[in-house]
Amino acid sequence: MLQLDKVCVSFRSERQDKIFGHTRQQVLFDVSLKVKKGTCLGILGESGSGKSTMGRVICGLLKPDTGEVMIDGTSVYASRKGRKELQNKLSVVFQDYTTSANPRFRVSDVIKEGLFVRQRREKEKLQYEKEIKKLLELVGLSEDFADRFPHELSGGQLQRVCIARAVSCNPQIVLFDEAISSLDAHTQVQIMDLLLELKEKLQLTYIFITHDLTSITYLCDDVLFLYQGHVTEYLPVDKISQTKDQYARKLLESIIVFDTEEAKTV
Amino acid sequence: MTKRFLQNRAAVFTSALILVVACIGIFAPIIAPNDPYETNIINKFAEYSLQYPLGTDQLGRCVLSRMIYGIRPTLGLATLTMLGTIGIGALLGIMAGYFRGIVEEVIMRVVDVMLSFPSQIMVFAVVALLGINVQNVIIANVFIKWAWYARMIRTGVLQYRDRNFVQFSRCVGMPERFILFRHLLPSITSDLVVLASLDIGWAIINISTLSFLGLGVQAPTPEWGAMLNEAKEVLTSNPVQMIAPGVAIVVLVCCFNLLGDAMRDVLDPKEVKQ
Repeated sequence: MLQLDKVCVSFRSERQDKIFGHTRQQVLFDVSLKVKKGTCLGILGESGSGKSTMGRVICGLLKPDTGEVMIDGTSVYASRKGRKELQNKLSVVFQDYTTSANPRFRVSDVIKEGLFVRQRREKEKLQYEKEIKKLLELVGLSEDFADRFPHELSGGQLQRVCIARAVSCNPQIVLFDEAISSLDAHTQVQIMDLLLELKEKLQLTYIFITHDLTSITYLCDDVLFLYQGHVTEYLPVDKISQTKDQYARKLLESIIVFDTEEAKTV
Repeated sequence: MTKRFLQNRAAVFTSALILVVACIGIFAPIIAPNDPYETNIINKFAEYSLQYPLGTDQLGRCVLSRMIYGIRPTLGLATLTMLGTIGIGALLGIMAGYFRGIVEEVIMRVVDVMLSFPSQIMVFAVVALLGINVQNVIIANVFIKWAWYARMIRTGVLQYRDRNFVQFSRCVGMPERFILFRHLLPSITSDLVVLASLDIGWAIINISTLSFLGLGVQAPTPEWGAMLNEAKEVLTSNPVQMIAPGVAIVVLVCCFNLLGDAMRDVLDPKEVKQ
């Protein structure tokens, strides 16, 4: 469904050696991946490994230097049509929920934005109030929340609203850019359960960017390890223990150690 | 919005006062007790009386009537100046901040050039070029002031354009129009309103200054700044002359400043009701 083919991204360095220098720093090296419909891909990497840059490439906000991003066979960055195609099919949830919603919008307006996109695309009139109520219920919030402002919600609630907004435009793929990393452990589990439920209900495809291996094993079908801009390992989650890659091993081991320690105390 | 506005005491009071002043100005011919141009040299510097509630000036004209007629050029011109300034400044500032690249480069370099001129000299140049006329004074004021706003608004837009809610809108393909007018513009209005209401005081004073120099509102036309300047001539012999226009300007400018402060609170949903 979505395919990245040898994507390279570089940024112009802030500090140049010469006055008119053009030194660029490469962030992503030949990243390729493929997401099938109805599956969930986890992208795992430490800080600065290029995860979020990759997210921006995937959601159509950053044109790669070389390589192709294909959605259902159409190249995203080659034409306006491809871009439009991606916009119609992809939606996104961000890490930082404090800036995810416009502080001047009520929750209903936040969700209405996604509905507006859907209405424009499907060219049929939507009953906003009914749809908003339905969406809020879908993410486990009562309809009283519709009149609140984002700062009147807790982090978990606001992230739910963001998820509601993301699915309100009726996408096929949802990209989560560290969407649950900033929440506490308990809320994380709640949100992940919600995501699994939504995936079933709406037949969504997920791309899940995170630095947390546990949530990947909980949610994803495939996992991609990113280390300093290189894909070091790309395999199904159930075979994750067979990985030969050093970095992936290191991550796995750190989790196992954590588990045994916990077992001891319990 | 409206509800928040009505709940804010300062905003309601100040805007009501400004509205009342504006109404008095609009209905000046009905309200004013005397003809503001009628001179009576024998009755100059008259005391406060029923016929002349605020006395008469150095030519024996009714001060109250002149004050009332003076609202039109004072308030009207200042508002017009600010509308023009904000209009041009906001449009170019938003364009520069949002589209970046070559558009920003061109607009900001023009702004740099504008800001490097001494502003009063610019006004003289514009008025000298176009001729002495009230309309030209407004054009000159807008001309020197828009660059400040363009730069201010660009900074505001830069702050918000990479926020996640804008990223989301772009990602799902909301029209640019929506992003500009529903996300970015409301986000910067609170700063904009404060700046605008502070600057309306500047506009009032600037128009008065130009009137004093003989470049703005011409002599017999009543205007608060011009009246103050006339009163200045007789400061030692008749200091009372200063009071009416002086107090009026201070109160009006104060009102605008307080309104700006209150509007900031009204426009920010995070501001908790007390």
